[in-house]
Amino acid sequence: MRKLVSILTALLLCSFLALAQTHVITGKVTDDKGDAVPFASVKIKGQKGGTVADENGNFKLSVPENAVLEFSAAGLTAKEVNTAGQGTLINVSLVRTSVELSTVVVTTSLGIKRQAKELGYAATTLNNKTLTQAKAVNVQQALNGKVSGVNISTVNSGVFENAKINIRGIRSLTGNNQPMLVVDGAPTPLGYLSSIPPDDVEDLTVLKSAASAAIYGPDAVNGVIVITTKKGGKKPTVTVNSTIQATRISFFPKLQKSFGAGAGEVVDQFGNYGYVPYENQQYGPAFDGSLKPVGIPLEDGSIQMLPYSNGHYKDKEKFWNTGLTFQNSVSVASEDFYVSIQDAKIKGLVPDDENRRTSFRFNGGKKYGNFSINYGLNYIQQNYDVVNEAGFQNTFPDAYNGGLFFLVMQTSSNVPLLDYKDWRNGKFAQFSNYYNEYAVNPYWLIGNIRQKGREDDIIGNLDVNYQLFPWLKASARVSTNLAFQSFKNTNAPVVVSDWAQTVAFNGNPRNSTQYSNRPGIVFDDENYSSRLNLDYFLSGDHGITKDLTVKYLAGGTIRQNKLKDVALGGNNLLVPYLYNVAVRSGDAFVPSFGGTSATGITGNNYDIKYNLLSAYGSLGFSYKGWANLELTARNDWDSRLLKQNRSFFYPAANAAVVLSDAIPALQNSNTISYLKVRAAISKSGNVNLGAYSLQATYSQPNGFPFGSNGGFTANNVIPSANLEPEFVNTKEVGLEVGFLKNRINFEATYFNQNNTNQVLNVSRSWTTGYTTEVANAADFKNYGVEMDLGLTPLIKVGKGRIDLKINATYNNNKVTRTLGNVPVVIGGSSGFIQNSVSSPTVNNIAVVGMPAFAFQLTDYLRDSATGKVIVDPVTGYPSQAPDLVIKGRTLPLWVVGVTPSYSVGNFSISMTWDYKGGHDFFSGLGSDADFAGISARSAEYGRQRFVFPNSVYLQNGKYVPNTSIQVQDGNSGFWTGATTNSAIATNYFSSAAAWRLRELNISYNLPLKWFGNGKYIKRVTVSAVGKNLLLFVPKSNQWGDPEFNYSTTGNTFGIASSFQSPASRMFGGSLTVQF
Amino acid sequence: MKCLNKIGISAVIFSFIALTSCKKDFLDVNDDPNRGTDANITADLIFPQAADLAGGQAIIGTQGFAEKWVGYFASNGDYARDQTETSYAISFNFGNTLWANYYNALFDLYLTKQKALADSNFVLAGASMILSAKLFQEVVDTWGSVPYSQAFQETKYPLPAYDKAQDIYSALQKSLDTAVEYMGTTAPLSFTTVDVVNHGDQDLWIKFANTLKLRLLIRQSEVSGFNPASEIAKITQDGDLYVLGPGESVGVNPGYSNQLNKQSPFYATYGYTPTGVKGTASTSANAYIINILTTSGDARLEQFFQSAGGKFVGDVYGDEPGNIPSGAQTSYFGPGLIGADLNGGSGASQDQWLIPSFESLFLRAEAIARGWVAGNTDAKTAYEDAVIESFEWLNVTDADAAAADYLANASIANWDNAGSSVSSKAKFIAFQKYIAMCGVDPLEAWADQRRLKFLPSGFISANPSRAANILPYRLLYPQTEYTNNGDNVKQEGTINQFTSKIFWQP
Repeated sequence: MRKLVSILTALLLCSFLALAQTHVITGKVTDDKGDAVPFASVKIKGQKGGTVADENGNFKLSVPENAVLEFSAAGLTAKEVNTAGQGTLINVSLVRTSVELSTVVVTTSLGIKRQAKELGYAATTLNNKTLTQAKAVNVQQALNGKVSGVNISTVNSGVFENAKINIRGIRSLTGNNQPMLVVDGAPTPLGYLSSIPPDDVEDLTVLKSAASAAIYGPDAVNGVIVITTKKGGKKPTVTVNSTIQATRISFFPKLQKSFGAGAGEVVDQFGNYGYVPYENQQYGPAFDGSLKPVGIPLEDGSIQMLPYSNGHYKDKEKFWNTGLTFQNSVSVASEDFYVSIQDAKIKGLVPDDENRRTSFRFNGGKKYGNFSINYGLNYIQQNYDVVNEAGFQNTFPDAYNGGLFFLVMQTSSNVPLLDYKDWRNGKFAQFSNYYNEYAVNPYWLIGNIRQKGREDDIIGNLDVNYQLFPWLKASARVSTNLAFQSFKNTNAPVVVSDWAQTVAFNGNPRNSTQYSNRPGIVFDDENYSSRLNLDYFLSGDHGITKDLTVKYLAGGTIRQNKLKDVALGGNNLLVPYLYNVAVRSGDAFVPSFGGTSATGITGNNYDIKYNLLSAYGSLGFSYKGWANLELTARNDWDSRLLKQNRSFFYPAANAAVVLSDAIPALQNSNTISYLKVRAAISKSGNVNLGAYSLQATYSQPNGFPFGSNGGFTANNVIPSANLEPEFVNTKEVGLEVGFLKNRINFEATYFNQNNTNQVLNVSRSWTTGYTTEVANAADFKNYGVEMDLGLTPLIKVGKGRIDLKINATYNNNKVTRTLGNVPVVIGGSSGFIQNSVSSPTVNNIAVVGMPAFAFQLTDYLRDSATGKVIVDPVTGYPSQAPDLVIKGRTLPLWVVGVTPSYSVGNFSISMTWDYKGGHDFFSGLGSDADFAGISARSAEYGRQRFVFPNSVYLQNGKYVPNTSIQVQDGNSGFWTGATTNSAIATNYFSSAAAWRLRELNISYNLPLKWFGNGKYIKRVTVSAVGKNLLLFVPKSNQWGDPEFNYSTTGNTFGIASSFQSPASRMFGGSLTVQF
Repeated sequence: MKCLNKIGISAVIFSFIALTSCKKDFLDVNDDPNRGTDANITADLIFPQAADLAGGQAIIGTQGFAEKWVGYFASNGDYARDQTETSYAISFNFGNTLWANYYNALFDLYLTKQKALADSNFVLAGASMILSAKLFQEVVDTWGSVPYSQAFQETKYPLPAYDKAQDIYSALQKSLDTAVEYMGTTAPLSFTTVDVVNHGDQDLWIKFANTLKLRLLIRQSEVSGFNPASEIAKITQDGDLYVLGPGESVGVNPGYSNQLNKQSPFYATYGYTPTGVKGTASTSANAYIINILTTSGDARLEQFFQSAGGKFVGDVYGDEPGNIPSGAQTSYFGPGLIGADLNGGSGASQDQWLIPSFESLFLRAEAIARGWVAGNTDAKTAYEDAVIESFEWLNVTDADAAAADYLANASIANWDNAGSSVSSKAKFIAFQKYIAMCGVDPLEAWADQRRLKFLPSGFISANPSRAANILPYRLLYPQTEYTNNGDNVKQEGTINQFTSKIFWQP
């Protein structure tokens, strides 16, 4: 007992002595730029213990007199500071060694910042500088090529420049595969990625794995893009940026330059097609340079007589404008707030297409003792005015004019297309006088069939936190996304002069389909969508022992989605150019609701509501900072499912070990500066269904009701009775390693996702009464390796340095089950993209054992032994096979990004190259161009009879190689024939591989001595930027940018059409001034 | 501070409880507020639409190929030649839309029947079955064996098997028998309003059903060993066939008018748009039928077609556009088909024919000529009744006199030239039926030609690339069947449009 007392006394004394000898030091750890270094480690040299700085780099530590403090943080050079004589406030600045791997603080679920080294899954963070270097107009374009595993396809080059984003391929065959977007903690529709100005982004993190997202719930199954917008620093800064970019056509389909207009209206005695001055199809005679008429003589007798040559071949390219994008932004950042205004004005490649976006952002935050509040408000207004190609058909339902690109293609190369710009006054450009009887003047389309729209988006978030106890924090976050859209489609009336309606040329009146009066059309749509999200959670951490820390979190989500749309049109306007639905004759056009799917809404006039409740929790253990384990679980209740299937649970776990901290031998290694291994396993549930998808429905078709006689027809979709959520089981292991003081960084992740219970739209025979059954009908696996390599610097050249970053993703997938083993057609169909009379059938299809997806295409009848095309021994023509062939793959097997950069002093240059390969693509434009006779293909044999290449024919019951039987007609008879050519999809199918120089950026920080040595102006940067400068595709691709797809929604890939402008490249310059 | 902590905790816990307790209502929001479902869509609500479809709302436009193949219509010189259609080298996509439209209409009729039966509305069920039998016969005549018994039961048969064409014919006879029985029951009051076909006239429905039964029998005339006696007995009353007679045309009209999407189907396709533009400007009269009508001095010519520049001109089907006259130089469709004031729109509100009276009379004439009916009427009278009815139906001026003149003077019409054999009489009647059916029902003409091969030469496509010198026997099964129901359709073996016959073809 006495002994005990004395020991206690001694201990008390000791502690007293210790108190007397130590003092408390506070301070902040920053990097060489003055930015806070969160979670930096602070140790007392030669002693145990120490602390870790908080999120803002602040630390507090009791130290003995004259101690030496070791400050370290991954990615920064460690620094020792002697406290002797330093007082109690020590601010330390660490020098950054690299920007990769472990330095990064990752914004994980619910906005909680974690050190990257703790994470057991792959996450990549990009800072503002990386994102804005090429001055992309929006964040999604800025992301392209920068992150392994991320595949972004720009599907058109219009003024909206929509993209499809996939992280690590796809997890759902037909449902949503786009990642979740979280802006400042608020779940936000992905579409906003195209409207958030890159300048407003502080940092962007891509959480690639479903494992990372267990807390976010079902939306995060495809990965998460977490954006943190800027908040100010201590000193207010004002940044002004101005950018101008010009866009030009970069990739044009291969066209023939030898033959002019004609389609058999004029035939000589040998059967050769003569020149027809008003024809759209170009199966006429070869150009010979002689003077020939274009069109027919006008009312006053004037006629265009022009050289019959390919002199205007280039007009089809020159038709497209130089697009211009002006971006101006001003931002003010201060400690408590960040305000920015950005204005972007985009003038498109299509003449007169325009889109203007103005956005205003205010972010703020305040801390009062234990209470803190953060809030943000972002208002975006977008106004656009574009040609409405899809609406063209409403004016000419009985003609196949197609889209704008197709109209341009239907212009023979002897025709001065550019002269017809003035469709109002130009003598030969006016509608009634236009030479082409089967395709209207494309400038007329631009001037008369338009869509004007406006979108207002409001994104708001409010985030309150209260530190209940040192070990427990209560948080609640409300966020809303509101989008209001309205647009009006206007089709001007077609007014044809009496002359054009009655004139006869060579006894033939003009084509009445084109030269008849038609009334104006209007269509108005107003809609809004709102998403309200409330997250509430308790979180904290607690040191159980000195080495073991536990982190915990429990909370829930309530989410409500509402959408409403009202649309009304009039197809028969009475007063020309007065576009109001009330000014019409006959019934109004009221489109009906077509239903919802996980990827979109069809039809108009709807009221949609769906709700979600969730409860979730996570528990994390950290041992000495270098061993981390996290367990998470979530339960969702989703209103879109039947009661009995509504609730579903999914757990996950991930672990990471920083070996370079854990293994003493590595701690002081000069070679390996960082080494981490990690693994994650997770299950996540996902409802890939729209609201109201559980019942078959009926609607009134066009025409009904007839007065009091209503009439309903069964719609084409039937859901199977017991639809359940899809589940994704993800396993991944990863390695992160840094060599030579992190000058070389390498990161690799193997991932394997087993996707079960896929909700598919199974195509059904019409004879079942339905075309589509929605069922849990397939499983597939998706696996691959993603790798990032950073060399910083690669070499030093004098004062300059060259850096190099390479990322590569190999991503394969395979369908493992489909319902009844029957292939499932995912999207696409015949005729959907096509204007000409004979369209190929092309689908994306899921077949067991094949990739998700393969293509299903119409093909020629082939000899099964040799694969050669069978031709008829008499006509020499091939024929169509009854079975469609299944081949190729829609998604790239390899995505590689290479980003070299060079910097010296204030000058830097960087570029991003990327390669996508292993996949294929179908061009609907190809078939259209063959129909029009403008394609290079159609002139391959000089329009002469030819022997179908690689063909065989039946002789005495055997297929023998065909070397002599020529096709009966080598002109339009072959090329426009459905079964001989234009309906055979394999003719327009090619590798989608492409190398492209996606970005080039040259920037120079002007010397500050020019501007008063930084007194007022802190930074002036000028830069030149270029995007999509070079594109290399294999020879087999004659048609276009293989990234283009006919639709931005849905899951079809690699199906392009002529309803898209050709691919473009962009150049520009930018000036940034910071005060 | 502690107090505040407690308040804070309580607030969080309270809100959690409050939010989860409202869970039930919060999640019960999945009833569709936008569309009808089985819960609220009744047979009465479907039938008018299904009848409109059966009348050809979606079908007429896609049957254009048959109008051209049999020599009624042709593409004019305004447009490039449709290589696929004119060469008979049809693709698997060729019949896709037609197939889809047929099965779409048949499914709505099936649903009407099921819902009506569940509601004990036997009359409406019967009406649906009769319309359904008409369409199914056309489907079989076009494709042969098709899904029938397993059709429209998606849950049970997601991949419907194909029934033998012959079995479907027998099943249709039985179904029509049942329908006739149903038609004999008392109709609910709503039937008169809902019945946009016969406006509640149940007798007319029964005659319609019997006419369809007769049409099924006539089609099988060349099947060896075929004996129609028992079925003929069912449709015989007082020594004559109880089928549609003079003036008893069956058509559908839910309230057609001259507005977009509301025009009578044939008019919408081959008449004029509400703004007066030709519905199908690429199509005109075929030189073949113009020649037949002209050389026989047929007064119906002006009813079938309009003159162009004072003449009746047709285009040679399948010829190079450069060799044939343009749309404006050729005859477009006439007042007998699209109404008297042409693009004034009166035809836009006309009934869409299902079975015109004269078609029934021609069927009756052939049955009598074949000796199937032991009645009082002789074949000549029956035949002449049919021709006269055709003149009446087309509103030929002074129809009876014109018909009499035609029957007496046109060698192809005068019964004296009908020959003595059953076969020659049948062909004689079929040819007149062919003329009367011009534009009205090309499928019937195509079927008769395949059955009896009676048409004088000249109707075959002039396209030198044509794949054969005969009309295709059928269409290929559509691409969608090979895609979505492949195992079943492949059981039918390799289909060739020139050699794979429909079962009733000789």
